[in-house]
Amino acid sequence: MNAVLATPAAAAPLACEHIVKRYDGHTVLSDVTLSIPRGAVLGLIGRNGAGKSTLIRILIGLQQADAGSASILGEPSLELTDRSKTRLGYVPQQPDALSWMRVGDMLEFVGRLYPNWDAAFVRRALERWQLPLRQSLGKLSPGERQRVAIIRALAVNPELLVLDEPAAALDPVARRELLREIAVRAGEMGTTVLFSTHIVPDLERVASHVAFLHDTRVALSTPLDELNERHARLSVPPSQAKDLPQPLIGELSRRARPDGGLTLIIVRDNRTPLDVEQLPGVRSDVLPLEDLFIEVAG
Amino acid sequence: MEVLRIQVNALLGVLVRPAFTLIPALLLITAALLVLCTDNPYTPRDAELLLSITVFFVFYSAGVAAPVLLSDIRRLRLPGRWPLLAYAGRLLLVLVIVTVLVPGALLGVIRGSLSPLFVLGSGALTGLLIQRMPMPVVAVIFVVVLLRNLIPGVVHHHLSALLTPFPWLAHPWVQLQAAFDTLAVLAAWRWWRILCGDGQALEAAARTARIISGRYTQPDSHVAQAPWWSSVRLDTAHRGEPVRVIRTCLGPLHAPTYGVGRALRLAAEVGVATGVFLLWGAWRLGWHWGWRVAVFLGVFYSWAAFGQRIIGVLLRVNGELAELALLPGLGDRRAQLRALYRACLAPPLLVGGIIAVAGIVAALIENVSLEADGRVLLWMLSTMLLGVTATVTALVGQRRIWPSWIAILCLFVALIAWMLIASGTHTVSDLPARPLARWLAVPGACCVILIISARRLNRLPHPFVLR
Repeated sequence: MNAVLATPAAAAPLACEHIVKRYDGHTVLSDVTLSIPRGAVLGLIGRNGAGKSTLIRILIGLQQADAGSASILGEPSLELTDRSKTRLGYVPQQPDALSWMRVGDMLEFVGRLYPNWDAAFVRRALERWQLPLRQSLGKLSPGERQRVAIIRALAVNPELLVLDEPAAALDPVARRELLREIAVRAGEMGTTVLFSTHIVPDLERVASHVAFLHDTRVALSTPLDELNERHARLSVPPSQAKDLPQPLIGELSRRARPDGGLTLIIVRDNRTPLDVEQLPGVRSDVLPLEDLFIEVAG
Repeated sequence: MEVLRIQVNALLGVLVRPAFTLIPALLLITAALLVLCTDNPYTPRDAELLLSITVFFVFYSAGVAAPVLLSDIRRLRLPGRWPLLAYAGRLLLVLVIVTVLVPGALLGVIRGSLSPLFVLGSGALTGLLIQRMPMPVVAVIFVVVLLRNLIPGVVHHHLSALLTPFPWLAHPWVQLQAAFDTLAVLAAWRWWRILCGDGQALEAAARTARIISGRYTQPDSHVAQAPWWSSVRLDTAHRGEPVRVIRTCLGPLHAPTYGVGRALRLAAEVGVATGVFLLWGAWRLGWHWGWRVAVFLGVFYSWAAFGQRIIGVLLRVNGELAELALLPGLGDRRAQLRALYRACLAPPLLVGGIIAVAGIVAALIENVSLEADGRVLLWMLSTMLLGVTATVTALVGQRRIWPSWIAILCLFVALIAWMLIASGTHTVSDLPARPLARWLAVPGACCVILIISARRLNRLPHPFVLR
């Protein structure tokens, strides 16, 4: 299943359609369609090697897809003008760039290229996170480097903020501060945010939308507040399992249990129970996000 | 025992890399051929030079591999540090016997002197030391040892003048021994700290070794401590200056700097490229041939030095490539491409151009044969064209089409050709008088590849897209 959220792709700050990407004959992304509404915070979740970073790189024009198209702020991702670039903030998974520069020099150098660079924010953030201005980037710890990259991305005052596993190297305090900053930017300034993560509680804390990347596709994409209402886990007893059609309408995953029964994850188009839920012995329960991820991707 | 086996395999894995095996093997074969097939009086000395470079390579490789292995063992809390040290000791002994003692003794018999043993030993110690000491210090000692053996008259004359207050050092044999002893003491001191210290020296050595073997990238941290005149000028890179922005992103070697720093860097590039070769060439061949070889090697070196760095930087997915793709102010696709070409090609073209012009001026002063030097000039231009082609093709594919071992191989071929001529086994007149079409074959092929590569680069949506 591919995901198109409520807003039409044309108006979305970040969108892609039918993206296909292969590495050495191995398909990483197949027919992925995704669009993020303005002001939304989309958490992209998936297992290691699911293709999250590749999808992000294609979305922002760092990498060319084998098929399909992507756009940022209304422009093709691969042909961004300077105007769009000044409205985009990006934090890579492991920021390695310009490692020979000192922190202060790098921020000054980059800041000169952005017309809406917020030098006051940079000063405040450096002080708050106690980052040494005169230390070269390569000598910082991974967490400190990640923080510098986050400051650099936020100082642009971006309309679109893309973060590739931004919290991976951060300590809990810094992670909480980052999430707060993302929430403030999205809530008060209308910044659209895409971030990939493995940490489900982070996603639940800040995301307004969630997308699961699994098995080269977007397996699931939905506003977070609808997630619990629309998704259910069904435990089908062995007596009913053998007569169950395959696949069911809205079925996301199916797992056979040792006792011969089935565990199904289904998505409902509306809140009314499906026929299968009325069968005798079938138990339906609501899934927390983490359980849903494990059921879909596990 | 299992741990030891893994360690041995890892060590061999490092040592069988092309750069670490092909070059020494070629050098050894050439040295053997020189000794066996020529009866020129200079042959033993040339063979000694080749062998000392071989020994340097072998011990340099061992010096790269050992700290990484020891660091891995320490980090993984694996047992077997002392068995490994014992194994390393045995390996070192075998290496010394095979690469220093046996060839040194053979050459010593031919030359009727013990000096080959000390020269080869110096090569081995330099290989072990080159990462452990400031490179200029080690390089100076080794070059003095080599030159002392290759141009004894000149070096002895100058050293004697310098060493007047120390008459006991005046004898050439004592000088050679003193250099060898100095290297041996330094090597013992530095390696004792790594093998038996508290671990900090080992980790530092392992980090350097990982960078050298391409397993890890490290910032040029020395840049932060550089004096003002050699530091990078970040204030000149801003919107509307895409070339300077790209040069800054490519790192300190390319970034804009102050005039003094630029001049010194240029002087160092040109000087390193030509200095030693010119010195030797001038002594062995006379200025007539010395300048030509020096110019050729200088032009080649300028491409090897710059090209490697550029591609290394642009290969880092989360690094400068992403930075350049998303930084505003670089203009549209065409402007970005133009700026990238200028940033990547201008510095080596400038250095190569200066060396070539200096060579032409020297040729005019020496009033050498137009025909012979026309060929050499064509050779130099071909080298530059080869450099441009290699860089542009590497940019298209974002991969090193000019791996370091190929660069070393080319340098080796040039060195051997030069040495054969220097040894008197070949002369200028031996060079076949090829028709012009044959001389143009390489530049022609380069042009075709260059046009194809440039077209492919031009077809990309932007030059910094990850391939």
